Amino acid sequence: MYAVCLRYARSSSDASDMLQEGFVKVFTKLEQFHFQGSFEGWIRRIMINTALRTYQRQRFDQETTGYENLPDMPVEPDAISALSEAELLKLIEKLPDGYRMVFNMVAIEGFSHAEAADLLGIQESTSRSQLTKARRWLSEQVLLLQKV
Amino acid sequence: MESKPELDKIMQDRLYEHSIAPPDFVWTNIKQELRRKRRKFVALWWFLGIGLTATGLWALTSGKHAAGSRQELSSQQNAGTGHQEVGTQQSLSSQQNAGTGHQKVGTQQSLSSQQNAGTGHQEVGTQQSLSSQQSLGTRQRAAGSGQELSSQQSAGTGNQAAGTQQSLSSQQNVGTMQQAASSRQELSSQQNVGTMQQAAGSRQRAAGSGQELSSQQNVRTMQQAAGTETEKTISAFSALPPVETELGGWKRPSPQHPKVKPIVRKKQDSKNCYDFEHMGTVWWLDAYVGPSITRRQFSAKDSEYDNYLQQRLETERPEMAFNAGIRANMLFRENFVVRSGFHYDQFVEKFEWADPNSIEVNIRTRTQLVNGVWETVIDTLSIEYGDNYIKTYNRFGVLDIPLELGIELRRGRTGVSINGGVSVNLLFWKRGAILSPDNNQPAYFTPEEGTLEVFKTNAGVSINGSVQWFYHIQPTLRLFVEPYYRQVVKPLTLNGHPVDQQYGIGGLKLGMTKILHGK
Repeated sequence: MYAVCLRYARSSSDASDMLQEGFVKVFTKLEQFHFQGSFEGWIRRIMINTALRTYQRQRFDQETTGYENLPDMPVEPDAISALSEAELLKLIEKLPDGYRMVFNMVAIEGFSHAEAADLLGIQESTSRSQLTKARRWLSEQVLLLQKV
Repeated sequence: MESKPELDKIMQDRLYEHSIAPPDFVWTNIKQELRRKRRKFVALWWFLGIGLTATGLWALTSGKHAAGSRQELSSQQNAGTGHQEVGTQQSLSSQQNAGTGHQKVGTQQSLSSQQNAGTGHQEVGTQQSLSSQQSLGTRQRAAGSGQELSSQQSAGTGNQAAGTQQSLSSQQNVGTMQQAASSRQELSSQQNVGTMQQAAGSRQRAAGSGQELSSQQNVRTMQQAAGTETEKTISAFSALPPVETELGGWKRPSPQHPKVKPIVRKKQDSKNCYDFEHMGTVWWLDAYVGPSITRRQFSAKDSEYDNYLQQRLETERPEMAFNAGIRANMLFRENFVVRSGFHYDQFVEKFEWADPNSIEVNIRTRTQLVNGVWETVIDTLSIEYGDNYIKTYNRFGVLDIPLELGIELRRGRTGVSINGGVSVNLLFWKRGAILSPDNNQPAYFTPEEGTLEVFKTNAGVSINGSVQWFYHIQPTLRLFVEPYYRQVVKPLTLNGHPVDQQYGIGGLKLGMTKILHGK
């Protein structure tokens, strides 16, 4: 679950706080797990909700990275595969909060845009645009790392 | 664009199951936080019990039983022996889920906690944290067969023995954490966070439908199984392949498997609950009204007034009473409440007196000439044998400023609050009539009108206790029902009056609470 928190947090210290808060919730609300799904999934959902609550007051739809107007640059799978998980996490950590939240929820966790928008309190169209921007940003970063 | 879905897939494949051991201090902080919550929970129950017991004893010594709810609460606390046990039982029972399998788990847990009761908060906290540690991972239990499912998975092999009887080593517990409900699994009590992650991150294969693994282990079995308890990071987790779960629910979406919708948290209940946890100090206002009943205590200061006391008891009877009030409340540290405001009690007593021995004689006097001499003649016109009857409704009103401390426990939209404190009288007014001690005849004691000085001008200090049940109809609006009892410490009659008249008032407050913004 620490890796999950690292993906959502801005820094490792934020991730530690999220993990701590999330597990305290898990232990204190254990009786609320009614076996409607896997236990891992329940814990993961608590961690995600903790992450969302941490950043819920911030507005994500106004964030920009400067890469919005760049053409899409296809990234070779090998380029990404060459990166370690730690490097991938670092890339995600550098994403702006809104991009990072949407990317994590939609691209990695498997939420739909409607679900992610509902949880984040944004429009579905905003979720789609944030994801597109996140992909663009990550692709650019991967290419930069390749050049280095 | 080809790279977009490909990027998502790669990220998903690489990072969804990726695990990292967090810093050691995280687990230490989690354990400390859980211990702190446990201590607070136990302290709340102690405070509750002491307050209720004191109020109940006071009422009992005055001749009134404590309310039934207070009895239950105080009886739930093993004073002096196992408050930790109570806390542990409660916390453990709160961890029990619905379902047949968990009953056994809960029993085991409560038994283990009872065995360890009395050794200190830390142990309770440790048990709690340890059992909480063990609760990670899926919960599966071999149904009825007493089988122990091994949780030993060697690094790199990912083998998981199912159905065989093997002892579990917590340090090797990198995969499933399973415990046969009918057997005593022994797991090490100390698992690092990396182990928790492994347990949480792995998929477990259910041996059959409806199986549950209980992951709550008692301290003793964990210690025995572990042999030596050491904490070390298990780095072999990453070598373990994920295990498909047959329990359904949240599966990892991948190109080979259809996406499964994640569990959407229902928000309905949370919409009607105020977020006390994150709001710090919270203020709210109460307003209430309700019926009351008085309990009088008469005592003669000297035996020569026993007859007078008996006549007072025969001629005065409590009638209706009611209470009303407004309060300002401050919630701090999530569960403690300080209350103050204005509280008014009014009660009525009927005074009824008849003198059956009264005789009324009507006469007429006249003078008439008898034998040339004027004489006075008295004629008796009538003799009436009747009642000298009087009936009044004596009214008493007391306006007080209460100062109370309470503990509030909440669960969803409902909750309970136990309160105790004192009240200081602001105003005590009275009107009516009683028998005078001088001549056993009715006399009014109403100030400015009456001739009899009976009662004090101030009711003095009272001791209060109450239990409130509340229900949130909106996040910032509650309805509540609050039975209360207050005992006026000193008699309301003057020191010079031959009879001491002391009052206790019990009633029901029916009211509404409006929560103001917290901070």
